[in-house]
Amino acid sequence: MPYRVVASERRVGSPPIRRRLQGLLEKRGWWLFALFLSLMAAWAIFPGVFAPYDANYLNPRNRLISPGGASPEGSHIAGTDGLGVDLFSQMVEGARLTLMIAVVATLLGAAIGVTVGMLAGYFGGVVDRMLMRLGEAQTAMPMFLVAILLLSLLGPSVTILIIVLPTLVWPIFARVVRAETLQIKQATYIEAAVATGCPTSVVLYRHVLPNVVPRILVLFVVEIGHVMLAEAGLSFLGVGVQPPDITWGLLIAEGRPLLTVAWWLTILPGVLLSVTVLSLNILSRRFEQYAGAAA
Amino acid sequence: MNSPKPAPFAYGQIDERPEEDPGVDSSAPLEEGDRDTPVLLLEDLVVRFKSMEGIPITAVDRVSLRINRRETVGLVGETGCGKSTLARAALKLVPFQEGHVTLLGHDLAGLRNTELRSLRRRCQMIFQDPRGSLNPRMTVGRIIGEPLRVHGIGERREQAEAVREMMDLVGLPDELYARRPVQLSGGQQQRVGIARALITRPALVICDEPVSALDVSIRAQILNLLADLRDSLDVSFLFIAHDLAVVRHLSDRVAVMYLGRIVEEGPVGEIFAQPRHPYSQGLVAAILRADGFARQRLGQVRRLAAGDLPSLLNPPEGCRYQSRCPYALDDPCRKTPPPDFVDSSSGVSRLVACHRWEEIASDSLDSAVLGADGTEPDISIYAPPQGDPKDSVEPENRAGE
Amino acid sequence: MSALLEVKDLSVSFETRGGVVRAVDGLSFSLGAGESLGIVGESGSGKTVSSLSILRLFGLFDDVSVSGKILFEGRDLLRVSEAELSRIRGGKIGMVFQDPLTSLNPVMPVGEQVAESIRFHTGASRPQAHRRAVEMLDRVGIPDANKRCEELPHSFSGGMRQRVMVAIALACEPKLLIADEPTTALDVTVQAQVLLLLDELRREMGIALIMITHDFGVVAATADRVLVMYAAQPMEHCSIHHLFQRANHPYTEGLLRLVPRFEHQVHGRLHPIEGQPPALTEEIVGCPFAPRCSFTLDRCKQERPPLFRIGPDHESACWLAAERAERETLPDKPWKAV
Repeated sequence: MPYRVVASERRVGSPPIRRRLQGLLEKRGWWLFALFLSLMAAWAIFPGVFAPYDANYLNPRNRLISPGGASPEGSHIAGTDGLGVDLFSQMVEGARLTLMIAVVATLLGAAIGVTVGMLAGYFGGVVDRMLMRLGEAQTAMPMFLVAILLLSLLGPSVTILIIVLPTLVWPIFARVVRAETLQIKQATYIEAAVATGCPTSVVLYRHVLPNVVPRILVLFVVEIGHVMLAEAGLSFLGVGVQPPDITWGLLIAEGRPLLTVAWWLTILPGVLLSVTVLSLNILSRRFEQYAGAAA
Repeated sequence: MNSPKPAPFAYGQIDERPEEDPGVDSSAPLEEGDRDTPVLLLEDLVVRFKSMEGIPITAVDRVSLRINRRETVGLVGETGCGKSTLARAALKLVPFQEGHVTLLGHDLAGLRNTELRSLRRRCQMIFQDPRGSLNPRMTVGRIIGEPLRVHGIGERREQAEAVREMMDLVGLPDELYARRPVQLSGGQQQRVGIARALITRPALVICDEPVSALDVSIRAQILNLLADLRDSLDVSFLFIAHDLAVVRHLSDRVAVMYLGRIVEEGPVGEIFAQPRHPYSQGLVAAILRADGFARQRLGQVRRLAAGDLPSLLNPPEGCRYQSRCPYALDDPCRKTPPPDFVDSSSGVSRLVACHRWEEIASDSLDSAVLGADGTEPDISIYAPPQGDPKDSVEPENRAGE
Repeated sequence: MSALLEVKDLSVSFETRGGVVRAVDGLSFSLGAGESLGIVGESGSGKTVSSLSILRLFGLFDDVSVSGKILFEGRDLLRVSEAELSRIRGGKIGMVFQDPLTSLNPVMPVGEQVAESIRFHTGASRPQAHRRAVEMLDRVGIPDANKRCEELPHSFSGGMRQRVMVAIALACEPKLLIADEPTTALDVTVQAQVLLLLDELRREMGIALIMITHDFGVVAATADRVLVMYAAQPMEHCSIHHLFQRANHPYTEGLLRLVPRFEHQVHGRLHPIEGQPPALTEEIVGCPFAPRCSFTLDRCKQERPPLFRIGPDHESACWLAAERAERETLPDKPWKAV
């Protein structure tokens, strides 16, 4: 049994400094990350407002200007690429497709995973075994390689990408939701609902689902990050998004050959991607705390 | 709902209600039989489970029970005796293997799922854990109104009205309508559970230990509420408890259950005054009463209900109680399970499943010592640990002076 | 005569999200060697926290403020070092908690769990401790203690587990046993047996007992004296016979009315105490029971009543008792005739 030493007549046991520091990012600084994500969303929705140049306008005379430098047309805060296109404008422009693919693919994955997980968890037995074995088989396969294979067979396109990416994440949703459902199934209010005469569909939709939603939300936010990274990876390998579409992953891929002469072409989109994924993670932790407090 | 509008939701005394049962409409096209039809009839019910290791367990073993209209039956027994399983099997919330369950004149075995669901409208349940039985994501109003929505009773506005009326009936202030269960106290949560169970005007309400999770002062409030509802509504209760004392205030009849079998059944007064089965005697003695005789009575429990409950995995042979019974004989107690003997010595018929009940009944010593009939126990039979209980606080034990 | 345990003006409060919770507010009592005290109260009355304070067990709470004194054999337990305290816990002061399953280590044979505590507190050798453990298990009524001490807790029933807990608590022959709702999770017949066992062993070994419970029946079976708590404050403190014959505080009376009595007819109505106990985060002015009390005076709402001494072995925190406390000095009053 854990206990804390207490001396009389004084306040004791404030949390240790290390724990405070750990919690600081989530407790105090989380809004910074939320702000960053809102900015990214704004980029995605109104790129024209934020991008100083047309992301498709190239001018070879302005090639490889380093960040902060200027061309006759103006300053380039993030420099320019090998074709003289403004990198910052490309990053702003890339936010749209990057976020769109990640969100839509994760939504699809979540929809499949939640349905499968809830059915498996609630009914158990054969349904459970079949659905969960399917998920496990998929987890055991190197799905990333399968995705590469599929994309090279079907030809890379945004639509195919949005169909392939959910297969990477649905088993995760399914497992979490199944575990959660198994637990909720034990709750007396589920029995009360059945005893009242609720048909199974009503039990699942009105009583089980609202109680897994907090967990799904947390997971959803994290998985957007994962899917974003997966998309970047596939695009980097050339089987994902194809030019002239822009995503951050594609920007990193295009900058790679020039890494020795123009570091910013890979590093800056990389940093952008990393900070976005980090923000998503921190925000999900924040959600988790709320979900925990509500339950 | 294209049927005629459902009858108003208001509860009244039974005699104010129309003769034909108004509760059954298009969503519940089931006949309920006349007033003499028992609300619940269990005949030789058997419920078996598989344990985690796959060993079959007989949780309920050939149990018969009848609950008449407007009658309250207490079902008492300790953990693992099968009382909760029995209640759930009666609503077919768990499957049963043998026997018959007749709910409001319908044999459950022959019912389709949709019919079963509409029958459940007339048979509701109140649970032990008041907080756990309420969906934490719903508001109080929604929780209470849920059965109405599920069974499609009334328009939205009428439902809300019915909910408020019900809240008033169970003593929940109106401002709790939009609250969530976590914001309520334990007693209020249980009132929500009661309101939800009563809103469809059920004929039978099964209460599974409705007060055992509540504090003493709140417990009494809820027991009184249930007693009021029993007196004013046309409803039967099956009241499950592990403690005889709770049942006493509400039940007309009591059935005592032990390891899957009903060992004694009879009118509540009789069971308390003169328990026939040794186990019932032990239960009566185990009621913790606040007076100077507590220790002596507990000594009785040790004699009447020695040791622990045996495991259902490996129930004793013959009479299920023989391993703890002070009266058990090798023959017949340890060999053959006792049949239900009928005791009509007091004018009312009671059932006792004990081979030796007549000998035990004539042994007047026990009931005198138990003090169950309202008289103080005759403690001279058992040497009290420290003389007259009135002097039991020795001077040196007094507070530090 | 110096008391074994003396609690003086103990107050404990926690800081939580919802505000400062006063869990114990001005509690004083003393306990002689071999004496037994029942602390009775509903949930949130502070009965559990006051007993855990004796051992400085505040596991779940970060910000705890404690004031007052807890003198055990003359030493203030709130001031001794942690090392010293851990020798006292389980050594001179034994504990039995409500839930025997979570209090036992699920992967350690029960005999070893008893022996471990013996070895730590008495420095006995392994075989010595084992012998003593088996002896204790036998004494608490575990059949075949010799064999069953090798088994893991899950193969024991709830009642048997609680017996094991009693064996652990008593193995080092403590001076004081704190039992926190030890039988609440048990079945009624098993509860009776465990209570009886506790009471017998305690008397045999001369151990003082603090029995924390919500049930006057449990108190009746095990305690010599009773302390009734409500909303973190002591309400009444008296001997067990005073309690049943002339309880003074309206709260005590209200609770006693709810204990099953067989004089009542079968379908008799209960007389509950209406209303809810106050939230412990609220500031309480006056008597905490005043809003639910049927004898409330104006004074009750304004001023907190102290514990009045209204007779030998009898104290009550009620303004009504104040009058009686004065009359008590007069001769020939019934409560003098103890």
